[in-house]
This record gives sequence, C-alpha cells and structure tokens, in this order.
Amino acid sequence: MHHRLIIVAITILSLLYGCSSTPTDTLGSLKGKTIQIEKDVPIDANIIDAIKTYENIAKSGGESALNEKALRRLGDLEMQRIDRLYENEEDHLITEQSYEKAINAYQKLLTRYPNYHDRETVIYQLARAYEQGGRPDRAIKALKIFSRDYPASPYAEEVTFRLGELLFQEGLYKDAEIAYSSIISRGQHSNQFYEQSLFKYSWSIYKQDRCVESLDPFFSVLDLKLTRNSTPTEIAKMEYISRSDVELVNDSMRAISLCIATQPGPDALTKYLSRKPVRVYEFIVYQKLAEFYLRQERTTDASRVYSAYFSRSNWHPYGVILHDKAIDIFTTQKSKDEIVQAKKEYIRRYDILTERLDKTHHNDYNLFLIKSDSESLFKIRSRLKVHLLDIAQYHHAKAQKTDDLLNFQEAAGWYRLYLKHFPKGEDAPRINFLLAEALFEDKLYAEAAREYERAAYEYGMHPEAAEAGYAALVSYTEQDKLLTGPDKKEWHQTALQSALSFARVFSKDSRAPSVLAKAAHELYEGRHYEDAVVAAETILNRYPDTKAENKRTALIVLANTQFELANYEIAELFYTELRLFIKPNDPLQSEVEERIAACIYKQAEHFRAHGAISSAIDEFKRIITTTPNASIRPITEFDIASTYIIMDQWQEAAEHLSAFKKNHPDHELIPDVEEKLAVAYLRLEDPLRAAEALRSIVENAGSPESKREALWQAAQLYEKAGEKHKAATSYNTYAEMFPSPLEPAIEAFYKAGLMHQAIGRDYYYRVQLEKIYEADKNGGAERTNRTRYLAAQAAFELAEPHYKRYAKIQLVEPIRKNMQLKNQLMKQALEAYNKAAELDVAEFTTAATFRIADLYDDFSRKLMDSDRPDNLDDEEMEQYEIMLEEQAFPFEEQAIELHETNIKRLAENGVYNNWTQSSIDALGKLMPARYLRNETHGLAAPTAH
Amino acid sequence: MALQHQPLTKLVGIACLAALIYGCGASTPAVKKENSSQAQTTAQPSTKVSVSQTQQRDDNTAQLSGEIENQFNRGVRAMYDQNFDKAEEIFLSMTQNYPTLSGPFANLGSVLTSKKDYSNAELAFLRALQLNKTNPETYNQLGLMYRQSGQFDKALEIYKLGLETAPSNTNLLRNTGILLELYLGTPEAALEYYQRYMEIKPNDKQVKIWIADLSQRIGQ
Repeated sequence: MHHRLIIVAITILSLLYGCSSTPTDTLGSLKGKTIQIEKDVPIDANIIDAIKTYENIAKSGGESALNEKALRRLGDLEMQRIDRLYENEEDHLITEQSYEKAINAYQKLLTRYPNYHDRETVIYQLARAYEQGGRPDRAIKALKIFSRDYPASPYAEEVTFRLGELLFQEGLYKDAEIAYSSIISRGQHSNQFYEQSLFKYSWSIYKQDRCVESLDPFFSVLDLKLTRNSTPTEIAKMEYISRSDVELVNDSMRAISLCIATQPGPDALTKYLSRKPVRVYEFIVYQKLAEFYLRQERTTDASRVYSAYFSRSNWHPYGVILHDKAIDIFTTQKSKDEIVQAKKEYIRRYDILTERLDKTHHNDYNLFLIKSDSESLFKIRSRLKVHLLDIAQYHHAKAQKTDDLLNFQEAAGWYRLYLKHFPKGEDAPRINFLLAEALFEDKLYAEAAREYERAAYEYGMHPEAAEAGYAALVSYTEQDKLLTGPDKKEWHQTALQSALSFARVFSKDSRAPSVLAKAAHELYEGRHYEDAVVAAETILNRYPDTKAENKRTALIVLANTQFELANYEIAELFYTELRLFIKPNDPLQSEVEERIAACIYKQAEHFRAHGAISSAIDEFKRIITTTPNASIRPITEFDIASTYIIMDQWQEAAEHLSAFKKNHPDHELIPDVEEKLAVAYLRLEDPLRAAEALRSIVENAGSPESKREALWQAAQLYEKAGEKHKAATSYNTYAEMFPSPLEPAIEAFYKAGLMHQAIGRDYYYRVQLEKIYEADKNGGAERTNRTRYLAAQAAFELAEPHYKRYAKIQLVEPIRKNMQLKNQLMKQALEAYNKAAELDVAEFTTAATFRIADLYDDFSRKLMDSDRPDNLDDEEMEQYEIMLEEQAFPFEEQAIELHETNIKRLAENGVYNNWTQSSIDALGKLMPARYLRNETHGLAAPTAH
Repeated sequence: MALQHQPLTKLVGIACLAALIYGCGASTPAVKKENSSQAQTTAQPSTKVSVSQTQQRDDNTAQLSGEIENQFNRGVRAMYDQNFDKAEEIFLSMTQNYPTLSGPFANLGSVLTSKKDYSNAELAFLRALQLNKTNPETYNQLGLMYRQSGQFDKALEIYKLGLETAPSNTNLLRNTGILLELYLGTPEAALEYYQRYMEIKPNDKQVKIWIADLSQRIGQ
C-alpha cells in the first residue's frame, strides 16, 4: 500500500538528488506501530456501516451532538477505512481529501475537549492523518506539540524521528539536523531509530553544504554497518548486512565520494583519514571514490585514488588490489613505460605486503584475517603473475629491439622473480625457457644453459621442453667457445651430459639423433668408449631411418672405438658398413679405407705374432684386394714378402718384392726391398737377378760402405751367373768408384779383366791389365804383396803380345827391313817384360826372365835361319856363315845366362814353376851336356798287391 | 766327374813321411813281395797270379782275385792310353772296394800326378806305401811328383827312403842325382848318386858324360 508510494517517491528523489536515496523509506515501519496503538479498539466488520451510524448521529443532532467518545471513534474509523483500502489494494480510491473526515473528527475533539484524557494519542493520530493527507506542515506542527507536551511518552523517540523525517522531507535540514541529533544524543542503546537518524543526520549536514562535517557521521554509519572481524573479501561483498543496510552503506559512501570529490588535492581522502583510526572497510571507500571519479571520467583521479589506499594501509591486500585497478586504467591511457612502472610498483607493494604478512604474529587478529583471505590473496597473486611476466617480456622485447644487454639482464631478473614466486606455476616452464632465452641473448651462456636445462627437465613434459633441451646444448656450445684449459674440459663434460639427457628425455625429437651423434663423437674423443658405444648403438637401433650423416657418425664412433680397443675384426666390419654411407668422392672415403687397411693389417700382425703365418699372409693380401688405395699398401706388400721370407718361401718372397719394386719405385723401403730381393735371388740360386737387385742397391744405397759391398757382391753374382760382361762392368765400376782400399780395387780390375778375357774382349782385358799395373804403381802405402803380384801378372800379360809379334818376324827378305822391325819389337818386348820382372814377384820375374832369354835365343836362331844371299860362291858362303855365327853367338850366350839365372833362383830361392822348368828345358837344348837330364821311372805298381 | 776323396783326406797333415809310412805299417796286411821290375819308362804288368797264392785260396777267393786282376789291368791300359780320367776312375774305385791293396793306390797317385793333382796324388802314394813299403817305384813316382810340384826336400827324402828299401834301384839313383844337381844346386852330392848309378849301369854313356861334366865343374 504505502510501500508503493514510497518506491515511487524514491524514484523521484533519485532524480532530484542524483544518486542519493530518499530518507522517507522508514515510514512503513512507523505505520505498523500506528496500527498497534489502535489494537484495543474493537474493529467492526462493517466499518462503513459504523461510520454511517456516527454520521447519521451527527446529522440528526449536529456536530455538537457528538460527544468526545464518538468523535474519537469516528476519527479512528476513518483512519481504519483508509488503511483497509490500502490493504485491499484500492489505492486509487484514496485522495488527500480522504483524510478530511478523520482530521475533522480529531480537530473537533481537541478543540471541544482540551483536557481529553487520551489527547496524546489523538495528536499522534492527527499528525499521521496530516502527513498521509499531504499536509506535512500541519503534521510537523502536530508532532512538535506532541514532543513538547509528552517528552516522556513511550512514543517520544518515534515522534521525534518522524518529525526529523518530515523536516528533512520538507527541506528543513537545519531543523531535521536538530531532530536527528536529539535521537542520536539518546545513545545507541535500545534506540531503534539511532542508525537511521545517524544516517539522516549526516545527510542533513551534507544538505546544508557542510559536507566535510558530514564525513564523520557518515563514517560513523559505516562503522556501525561494516566494522566486523571479517576478511577483506567478506567485507567487500557485504553479504553479512541486510540489503537495506547495503543501500545505506552505499548511500553513505556515495555521499563521502561526492564530498571528497569536491575537495582540493588528490589525496583528500587519505588526508582526511590520516587523523582517524583505521577502519577495516576503508578500502571500499577508496574504491567507491575511484569508481565515482571514473563515472565522471576523471580517470587520473580515479587511478590516483586506487593507488593511494596502499599509503593508507600497506599491510592490506587491497592496497595491492586497488593498485591493480589503477594499472587497468593505465593500460588504456598510459605509455608502455608508465604501465610497466606501475606494474613494478605492484610488485613492490606485493613484496611489502607479503613481508608484512610473513612477520605477522598469530595474536594479530586483523592480519590473521587478512592472511586467511585466500580470495584476495589469490587475486593478488594471479595478477602478480601477469605483471611479472609483462615486465619481463617488456624488457625482453626492448632488449631484443635495442640489443641492450642491460635490458636482457633486467628481463632475466624479472623472469627469475616470476619463477621464484611461481616455481610450480602452469607457466613456469615457459617462463623458465624465456629466462634462458634472455640469458642467452645476454650472452650469459653458462647461466642460459642451466636455465634451459631447468626448463627442459624440471617441469615434466611441456611444449617447450624439447626446444629448451636443445637450446641448452646450443648454449653449451657457445660457452665452450669462450673457455680454455681445465674449465673447458669440465664444461665439455657437463655439456656432454646435457646432450645425453636430451637424447634420452626427448628421444622422439627430430634432433635427438643428431644430438646423440655429436655426443657419441665427443664421448669417443674423451675416450669414454663404453658410453660412446652405447650412444652410437642407440642411434643405429632407435633411429633406423635417421639421416645418413648420423648413421655415419655412429659407425665412425663404433668403428674407431673398436679400433682403439684393439678389436680390429669388429672395427673392420663397422668401417666396411661405414663406407656405404660415404659418397665415392668424399675425402672421408680414403680415410676409412686407411682405417680398414689398418684393421686388416693389425689382424695380420696378430696372426703373424702367433705364428699363423699363412693366415697373416692371407690377411695382408686382403688389404690389397679390399683397400687397394690404402697408403699402407706398399708396407703391406713389403710385409707379405717379409712374411714369405720368414716362411722360407723365397720364390713368393721374390715375386712380391719385385712387384713392390715395380709398383712403388720411389718408396722409401726400396733399399730394403732390393736387399731382401737380392737375398731372395741368392737363396733361389738366381745369381743374375740377385746381381741386378744388388746393382739397384748400389744406386740407392745410403752409405758408401753398403754401396761398396753391394757392388762387389753384385759383380760376384754376375760372375756366378755367367753374366761375364755385366760382371766385368760391375767389377770395373767397383774399382773405379772405390780405388781405396787398394787391394780389392785391384782385385776388381783383375776380375773385370778375367771376365773380358773370357768373352774374347781382349782389348778391354788389356785395358784392365793396364789399370792394374797403374793402380799398383800409384798405390803408395796401400800396396800389398797381392797388389804387386797382380801388377806383375798384368805387366807380364801385357808383355806377352809383344813377344808373339816379335817371335813371328822371320829374318827373310827384305832382310834389312825385317831386321829393323825385329830389333824394334825386341826393344819393346824387353821393356814390357822388364816392367814385370822389376816388380820382383818370383813367378813373373822367372816368367819374364824366361821370355827375355827366349827373345835372345829366338834372335840367335832366327839369325842362323835367315835367308842367305843367293849370289855367293862357296867360299863367300863359308865366310858368311862364320859371320852369322859370330853375330848369333852373343845372343845365345845371353839366353843361356838368363836361363841359368832362373835356375839359380830355383836353388837359391826355391822358386820352382813352369818358367824355371822351361828354363831347364831350354838349357837342355842349348847345353845338353850340362842340362839335359831326363828322369826315369817305371809303372808305379805293376800288380794290384 | 766328382772324385771321392774321403778315404784319402784322412791322411792329410802328417808331416814326417817316414813316420807316416812306417808308423802305421803294423796294421797293414802282409803283401807278397813281388819281383821288382827294373823296366825303364815302360812297365810290364804281370797278368799271372802265382800258383802258391792260388792254392791257399778257395774258389771264391780265386774268383775275386781274378776280378781284381781284371780291373787293375784295365786301369793300367788306360794309363798307357793316357786316358787318365778313366784310369783314375778305375783305380779310385778299386781303392774303395779293396782298400788293403797298395797297387791301385800307387797307380792312382801316378794318374793324379799326370793330371797335376799333386796333393791327392801324394795321399794316394803315401797310402800305397803304407800298404806296401817294398815297392821302390812307388817311392820313385812319389819323389818325381814332389819334384814336379817343386817340393824338392820332400822329393829327396822319399828318394832316400826308397833307396833304403832298394839301394840299387837305378831310377831312384839317377833321379836323386838329377834332383840334387839341377833342382837343389848341389852338384857334389849329385855326383855320388850318378857314380852309384854307374856302378850298376856302367855302360850308360849319357850318365858318363854327366859325371865328366860334373866332375869338371866341381874341379873348376
């Protein structure tokens, strides 16, 4: 009924005052009281009938006919009738005139019976009728009379309140202030109008343009409604107060906002509060004020107010929460720098707050409540997360844009802070990754590596895990470049572990095989063979389809490892497989070929060392077929040959050695090969080839001594082989190259001479003889008996042709010319034989002596046999014969004398040889009586016994 | 042809010829003393075996003896034919098959001397002398071999040994004289042997001239 009106009124008032609520909403509650007052009056079922009855009385006897009781009854019935209309929802039937009858009845009663016993109630009812009948001025008058006349009435409080309300309603704020103040002054205890009065009191002051004065009472209202031991969230929600109280609170706050908004300076509220005790709900006031500013589009003021609460209560979560709202405002209004500044402030405040809360003792109930306000704290922390990340990313982005290291560091710092606050947060892995990125970009590779690893391995699986794991490896590599010495080594080790972790944890990552390959390689390099093998095998087993490069690395590691571990057989298998993964023109091919060759070589060596010689040879041969281009091929061929030598298989040895010579003519082993080849040919009794091998040795020999020996041996072998010409040449070369020591040199000339002679090269033979003679003659201290012997022999041999030429000459016509020639030849022969004789070598001295003797003898005989002139008579001829004998005789004498000299040597020096014997024989002819002594003998044994 | 010298080389290095020949003599089987042949330059090989020897042997021995004679005669024939290689083969074979017979050793020495294989010849001769010390021609041939190879002192020694066995052997006397005169340059010593020679062969005009010439030279 009335309620409807009230609502309408509120609406109207709202329009008038902007947002303030109407103060009339307490009338409903007053009405209920009114009804109670009339309870003891019996209410007829048919009020209309009753009223008509009283009206008829009045008509018949005039108004005066009605007594005090009737008037009272009529007034009350009228009031009841109107109340019924409200109750029956027939409001439309009620007008201001509807109360006329009731007012008339009450007024008549009061004027006719001033001492009416229940005057108090009648005035009260009259005030009501005036009020409801739209005559507040009269109502005020009535209420003022009541207050004056019945201050001790149980209705006095209510009446005063209604008075205040009417005064307020009528804009009589000063009077209303007094009325409300009167109620307030009675105290709060059992004062049901206290709160409402306080509220209206505040407004009354406010309405008098004394808003600053109204603040205190308004806060008192808030104190009454909001002060409570609850968490800030509960307080903010105001669920613990009634809806009407919420309105009251909001109205109060609106008033406060309106007032503060008019005050100069941004910190008016804080300034005001600074003198006041702290209230738990203050943050709401700040919030409302800020919202008020926002509605007025005073955003700067709004953000200031939001931020300001912290300075009022830095221990309060809303100090941070409200600041966040300021940040929200900034996001649409401010520069990025300012926003970031504000966000940093948020974090600063957060830190202060948490520090404060951390230090809280359990007996500080207020702070305990705050700590238990999980909703607020959650809100704060969720925003903290956002801000930390924003700040970090802001710096990170800035750093990337400007390449400014300081910004990277700052970004890293913020990321770290984020992780410190939210180590288990959903975002933590990503943030950790970003932190690592910032560190990496800051070139702090070591730290970056650690953070990447954390991002990769400490959060379980997440989208960036693998990327982080890989980035860690990149960081390790970068840092590695900066290190030296033992640090580098240690770092390397750590990096390696990281790589292995990556390969293990992110085994399905496409980069895993490559990482593993690199790790395997490094493990191998670090001689961690076991681990290297595991890594390499993993590549091959787990990633059968990985790219060739990785397989290649794995195989290299496996092969090399086995090689290092001396498992050459297995290593060879790996190397062989490895070749399939290398392009033919890749330089690695030859390297692998070398290794395969080495593997086989080692196997061969093993066999050889254990006496399995033929197996060793098979292996060596395999090197040549399998790895024909390997650098150890020559060595291998050499080894094959050497091994055959060990086996005494000289034929095979020789074949391989000569193949070696042919294939590798410039190899450093050639001298060795030739020497062995020579030995092999000697063993094979192939002196010619042996000699040729030795001649090669001569050409390549290092030391002169070995050259000399080889040359001598070669010459001997040629000789043995029947290669006389080559033997001659070799001996001669020997003697020419090594004239000292003298004796072998002369011996060599001698041998050379014999070889020439044997193949009919007489001229060369004689040349050698001359060399012998000259070499001995110039031999000085190096001359020996042997050299002199050979020289004498040579001289004698050289003389012999002179003898033959001389002996051939017959003294026939033209006798003079022949005589001259023979003389000349004799002279030459004598000279030649004397050379031989002078060397005083018995054999040739006797020989020469014999020849000289024979020269003379020959001359003597030739004279006697010479052609006789055919024109002489007998006497002349006789004379001629005598003359011839005279001429010939001295030559014969000379011959005899010389032969006898030879015989004397026999007796005196014991020199007996063909020549002395020949001298004896010659003397036997020249002087038979003295020298012809023929010995006699029979058959040594005529019978067997 | 490769020669088998083993049986001979065992004797190498023994210095004193006399000791060599006589020292070992006790172990050598007794050989029937043969009639010494005085033939000069040509030898008359005996083709007959003495009756007394034959009677003491059984048939087998007789057969063997015949075979020996055959072989020996073939060797001698080869020597006359100057087929020294064949002669050497035969006598060498005999020395191995019948190592107690001196004849094959003596003729082997002779063949080897002809082939100028003096050292093996010496061994063969010495072996022959060990088996039969009484054959003056073996001494003579050994002495000649020594002279031909210039070992004049050894020649003289062996000649003298031979002359002890056969003091009247003219080959030994003549050859000793020549050795002393021509090769050892001791004409006085030679003269003595020529004179002893002349005692046995007083009609040798040649040696008579030698003695005359020699005496004249010594006289000078």
